[in-house]
Amino acid sequence: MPSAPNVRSLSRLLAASNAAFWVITSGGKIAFVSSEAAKWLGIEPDILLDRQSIAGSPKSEDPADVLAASLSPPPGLSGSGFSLLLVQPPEVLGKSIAPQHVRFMQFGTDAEALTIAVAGAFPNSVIDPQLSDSITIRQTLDGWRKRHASIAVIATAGTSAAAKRLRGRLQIAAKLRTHLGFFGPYGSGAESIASRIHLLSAPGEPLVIVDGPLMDAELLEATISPAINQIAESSKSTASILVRGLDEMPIEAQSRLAEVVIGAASRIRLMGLCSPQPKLYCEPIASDKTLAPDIASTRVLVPRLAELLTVLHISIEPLSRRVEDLPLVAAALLDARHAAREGTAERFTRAAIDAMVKYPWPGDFAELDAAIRHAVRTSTADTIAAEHLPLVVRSYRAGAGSKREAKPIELDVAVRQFELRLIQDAVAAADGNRAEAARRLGISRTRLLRRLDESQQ
Amino acid sequence: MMSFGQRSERHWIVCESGQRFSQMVWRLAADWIGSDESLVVVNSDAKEVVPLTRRLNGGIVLWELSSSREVEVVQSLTNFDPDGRSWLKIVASGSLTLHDQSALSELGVAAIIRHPEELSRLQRLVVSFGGYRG
Repeated sequence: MPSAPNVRSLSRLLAASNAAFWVITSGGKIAFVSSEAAKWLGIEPDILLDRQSIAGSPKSEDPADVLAASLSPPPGLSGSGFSLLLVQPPEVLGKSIAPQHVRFMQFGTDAEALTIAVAGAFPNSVIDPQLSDSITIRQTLDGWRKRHASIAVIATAGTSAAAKRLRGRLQIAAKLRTHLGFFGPYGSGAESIASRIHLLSAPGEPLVIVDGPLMDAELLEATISPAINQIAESSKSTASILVRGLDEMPIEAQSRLAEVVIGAASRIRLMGLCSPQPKLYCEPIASDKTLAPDIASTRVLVPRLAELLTVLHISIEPLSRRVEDLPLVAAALLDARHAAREGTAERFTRAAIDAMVKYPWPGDFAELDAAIRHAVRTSTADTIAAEHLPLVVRSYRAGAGSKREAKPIELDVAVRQFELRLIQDAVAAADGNRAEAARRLGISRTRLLRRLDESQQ
Repeated sequence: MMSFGQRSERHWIVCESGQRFSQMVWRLAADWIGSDESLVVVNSDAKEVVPLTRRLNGGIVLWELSSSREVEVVQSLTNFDPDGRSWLKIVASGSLTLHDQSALSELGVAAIIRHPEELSRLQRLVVSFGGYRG
């Protein structure tokens, strides 16, 4: 143990230092912030002490927690002991903070490890190339968190045109309390996005969640009664209804929902989660049921609901079409699980990223989230390698034919056709003698004749 | 046996040590072709790229540039037919300086990527490339 005078002299040096630096404990908490660092961040140093500093996962929405999270070291530091990162703190009290290059150094091991972060430009900025990809991803993610702090739902992370388009629509949606239609594949994270938008556009407003496919008109009324009661309380009360699988909701229930929402003027706001391209339902003419569309197998919206949802519709592209966003989305999911102490892994190996980007993710964002959860639990190191991913992901091979749609085969029809062809060949070989053909095929003459008769019908 | 040169085929020649990029081509480029077209992805050695391109009408060539294969790839690029405008050249490398990149541009390389997922950014370039229609 160092003697008290020894520590006191170090304390004096630290207090007098004109360098911008801070110290993070092995548990990810800020233990010290120099006065120069505090000046850069525009806050008192004490405000940040003991706050969690783990990538992208502030403990709360308190600006100090968000700021502390932005000061966290990049992934892979525990292995290399040294790393560089462009730290991009979020705005504090409406004031933007200039990003700075920061050198992170780790000393000691396990619970006694200590990380010192020193801000400033350094001439010797060479780092392990193995880590450079993870650091680039972290910097891009930090930039996304900084620019889209309010709507930073992980599913929206990315640099692709589709991700930018989505965030643009969400920024508008977050500022307006209006009916919203979310059109995306199953598992796209639409519900968490819709919930976030609801919190931002109508804070404090009650939200009723409805499972569309399970509803009939009567059950729907019972389910949305809290919203109806809410608006009955006073002429200024409002409520929102979020319907999962709106285009799978029975037509009668959809019509009833449209009546309620339109009847309440704008006091009930509807947020509908739908498949990417639902069809518009057309009323069958008179009682001719044969003209009615096969709604059991098609996702449809009644025109009145479709009209409401087109006020502001938000298309969520499937992850399979956002290949370049995958490393970012996966890293953001990993950050969240690492911060929740679900595992030790804090970055992906390149092989793991390669495996993820070539997999088509039929279950979309939800499947990716489940895969990351599996990998975090499987990995015991600070990295997630390809072998930690689920078998279906790591063994996927794209190739010729993988994109071809399987043609539906009716087995009974195919077998009958094959049998008939054999019979016809046997009859031809026996010069038209059906008894001989039946004998050669080892079947009765009656069966052979029956098959031939059936083929002529 | 694959047949080359048919108008309905979209050719990619991928010259790499593993299958990182050819797998990604299969994954992405299959969505970039019409329903009446087929995708042909050929994994080739750097030395065989030029003879192979002479047998085909056009398409995309992608070289993975690593320190161990640098010479072969650059030779293959320099031996490319100067009139080979029916071929779109892409190089994949994680460690190129700006100087390297401008040198590759002079050799007719249209795009440089670092990782397989960056191929998705080239969709418009690939689809609008005339030579892609063999």
